[in-house]
Amino acid sequence: MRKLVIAALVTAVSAGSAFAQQVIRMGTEGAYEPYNFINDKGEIDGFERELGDKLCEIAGYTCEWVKNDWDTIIPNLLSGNYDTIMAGMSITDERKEKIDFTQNYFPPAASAYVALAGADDSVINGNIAAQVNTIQSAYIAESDATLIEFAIADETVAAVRNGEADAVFADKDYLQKIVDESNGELKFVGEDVQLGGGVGMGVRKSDTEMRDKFDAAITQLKGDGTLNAMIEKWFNIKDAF
Amino acid sequence: MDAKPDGAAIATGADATPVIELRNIHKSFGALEVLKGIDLVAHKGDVTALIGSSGSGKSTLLRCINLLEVPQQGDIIFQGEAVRWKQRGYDRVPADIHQLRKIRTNLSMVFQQFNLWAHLTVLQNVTEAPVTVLGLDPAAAAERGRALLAKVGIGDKCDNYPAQLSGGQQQRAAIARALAMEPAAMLFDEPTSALDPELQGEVVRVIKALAEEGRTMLIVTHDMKMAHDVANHVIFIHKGVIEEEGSPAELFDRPRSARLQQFLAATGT
Amino acid sequence: MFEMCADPKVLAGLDWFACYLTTPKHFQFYFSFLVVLTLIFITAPIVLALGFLGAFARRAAFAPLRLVGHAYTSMVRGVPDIVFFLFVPIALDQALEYVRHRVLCPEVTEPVYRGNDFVVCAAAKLPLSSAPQWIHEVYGFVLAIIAFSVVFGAFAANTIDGALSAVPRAQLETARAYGMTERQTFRRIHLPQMWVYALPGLSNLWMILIKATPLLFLLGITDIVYWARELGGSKTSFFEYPHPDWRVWYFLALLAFYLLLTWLSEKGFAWLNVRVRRGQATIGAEVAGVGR
Repeated sequence: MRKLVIAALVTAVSAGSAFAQQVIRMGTEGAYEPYNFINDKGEIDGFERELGDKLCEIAGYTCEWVKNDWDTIIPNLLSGNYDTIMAGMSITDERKEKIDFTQNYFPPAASAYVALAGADDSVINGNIAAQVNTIQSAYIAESDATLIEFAIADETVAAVRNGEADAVFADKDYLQKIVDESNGELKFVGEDVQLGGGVGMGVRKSDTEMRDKFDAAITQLKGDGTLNAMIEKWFNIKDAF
Repeated sequence: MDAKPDGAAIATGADATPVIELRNIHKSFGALEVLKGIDLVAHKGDVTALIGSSGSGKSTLLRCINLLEVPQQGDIIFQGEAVRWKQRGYDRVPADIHQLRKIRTNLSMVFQQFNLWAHLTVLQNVTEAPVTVLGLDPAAAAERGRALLAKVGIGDKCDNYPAQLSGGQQQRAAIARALAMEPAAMLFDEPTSALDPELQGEVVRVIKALAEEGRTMLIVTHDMKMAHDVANHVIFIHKGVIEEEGSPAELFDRPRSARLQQFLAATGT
Repeated sequence: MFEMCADPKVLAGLDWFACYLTTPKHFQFYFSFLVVLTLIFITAPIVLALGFLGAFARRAAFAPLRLVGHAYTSMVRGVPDIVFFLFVPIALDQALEYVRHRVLCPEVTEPVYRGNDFVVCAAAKLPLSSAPQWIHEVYGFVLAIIAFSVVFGAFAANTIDGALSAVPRAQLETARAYGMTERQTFRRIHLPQMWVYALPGLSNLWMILIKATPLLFLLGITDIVYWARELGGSKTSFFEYPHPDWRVWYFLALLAFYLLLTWLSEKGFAWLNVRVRRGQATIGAEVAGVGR
C-alpha cells in the first residue's frame, strides 16, 4: 500500500517537473545562524539555504532540504540519508579522509572567543565552550585550555551566560550578531584565530559527478559576483572573494 | 463400626462393564517407583475408598486414572475402552487426544486444595467447563449451576469469588463444579484434608449424600470414619502395592495384614 | 496567524506573545506532542504483541524456537537500549536498501560499500530521493516505532513469561482435568489470571516507554525535545521574534506534559489493576513488581 502511495506521488511529482531532473537532498543543521537556521515559519533559512537553492538551479537539480544533528551529520551523509552537507562546515584534512568537499563558498574565516563583559583576556586559558566535532573544539583540545563540548552552538553561548564556561570559541561570524545584540553582556576577548580552509559543500567521495557540477556552479557564482553579494547580505562582509 | 448403610450397594451385576478398570499400573518419578502394579475395578455405583499412609501412592493412583499422571506401564480401561498410547522420546503418552478429553470430561476431580479458578465467581466456576468443554448453553448451564450450588448448600454464594469463601464452602463449590459435568465417576483427592476439623463435617455430609444417590466415586482419604461410612469397597495401599482390600467391615473390623493393623492403630481407628 | 502579526517588530506585550506562540514553527512544536503520543500509542500494542510472541517462543516445546526466544530477550536486555535505538533503524534501513538494490539494479557492478560510503542505486533508495519530505519523515517514524518495539518487546516478553509462570500450576491442571484443551486452558484460565502478575511489570514498562520518547530525537525525528531546545535557544535579530535564552520555560512545559502523562497513566493502571485483580486479590498481593 505504502509503495503504491509512493509510486503515485513519484509519478505526480515527476509529471509536474522536468522528468529527468534529479532530486538532491541537501543536509544541514539548522542551528548556526546566519549560515543556516530554522526561521519562524519553521523553514530552513540562511546564507546556505539561499546559496544552495541557487547552486541547484544552476546545476539543474531539484533540491530538498533536510535537517540533521550536527553530531551525526557526516555519518548520515555516508549512509545516504541525504546527498550533500551545507552546514557551515569548514574544509579540513581530517574530514577529507571521510568525505569530499567542493571548493569553498565561504573564505577561511576567523574564529573568536566571547566572554562575559567583566572578563579579561586570560579567560581564554580557562574553561572554553565549543560545539562538538568542530574545528574550534579540535583547536581548544590541542591548547592549554579546558574544553567543554556542546551538541549545538546555542548551548555554547548559553554556557558562558550561565557561568558554566569562561568563554565560548566559535566562528566569529556566528558570534558577531550575538555579541552585538547582547546589550553589553558579552564581548570578544583575546585574539582572533584563523582556522580551516573555508566552508565548502560536503559530499560522498563516490558522488564525483555531482561534486563537479556544484563546483562549476560555485565557480560561476564567484565569477559573476553573486556569491559576494550573498555574503555581504548575510555577513556584512564586502568582497569576500 | 459394623454394617454400612445400604444406599451404596452395588447397583449392577458383576458382569456389567466396569466404569473404571486399572491393570498392573506402574508409575515412577525418576528412580522412585511410586506404584508397583496396581489393579482396580470400579463398577457403576461403587464408592471406593483408597486409604494408606502419606507417600503410599494413593493420590498418584487417582491422578493416573484421569491421566494427570501418565503411568509407564499398565492399562487404563474407561467404560470398556482401553487408553491408547504412543511413544514420545522415552515416555509413553496418550495417543488420542479426543479419547483423553472424553475420559476427563467423564471423570470429574475434586482436589485437596479445592483449586477453584480464582478469577471466576463461584457460579462461573461451576459453569466454565460445561460451557467451554461440553458446549452447553450458558443460560442453561447457569440455571443448573445455581441448582447444584443450592444442593451443596451455598446457593447464596453464587456471585462471590472463591477467596471470599471458607474452605468448607470452597470445597462444596468444587463438588458442585464436578457435578456440573454430569460425570460417569467422581474422583476425590483427599477432599477434607485441607479443612479445619469443624469444617470437614459439611463436606463429608455432601459426599455421603452423593454416595446415597448411587454415584460412582473414588475417594482418596485420611478420614477413616468417612471411608467407613461412605465406601462400599476399601483399598489399603502400602508402598505402591495393594496390601489389602474388601468391604469396610472386613478392612476396618477384621484387618488381616499386620501393616493395616498398624496403620489403623496409628490413625486411631 | 493573526492579522496583526504581519510585522512582529512593532508588537509588544501580549500581542507579541500571541503572535510568537502561533508562528508556524510553534505549530511544529505543538504537532510534535502528537508525534510523541502517536509513537506511544502505536508502539504499546506492538510491544504487547511482541512480548507475547517472545514469551511463547521462550516457552515453546520446539527447542530451536525456545533458543530464538531466549536469544531475543537476553540480547536486547543485555545491550544498552541506546545502542539498539541507534543500531536497529540504521541496520534495517541499510538492509532494506541493500536488498532493493540487488533486486532493482542488477546491472550496477560497483560494490554497495565503497570506502566509507553506502551507495545504492537511485531506484533502491528508501524512500526514493524524489519522495516528498513527509514520506521521509513517516519512514523515519516507522523505523523508530520498530526500534522501540524491538527493545520494549523484549522486556515485555520477559515480564509476560514471568507472569505466565507465576499462575499457579494447580489452576491450569484443574482446567486440563476438566477436559479443556491447551488452547482453552490458555484462553479461559491462564491468560485471564496472568494479568495480575504481568500488570506491575507492564505498567512499569509503559512508564519507561513514556520516558524514553525523547530518544526519538536521536533517531533524527524532530520531537518535543528538539523543538523545546530549538525554540528556547536565544534568538538574534536574524529571527522575526528575537528573545534571550528561554529554554527553561520550554522544558518546564515538557515537564508538565510528562508529569500529566504519568499521572494519567497511573490512574489508568490503578483502574486496570482493580479489574484484573478481581477475585485474585489474595494471590496477587504476594506478587512483587517484575520490571527491570
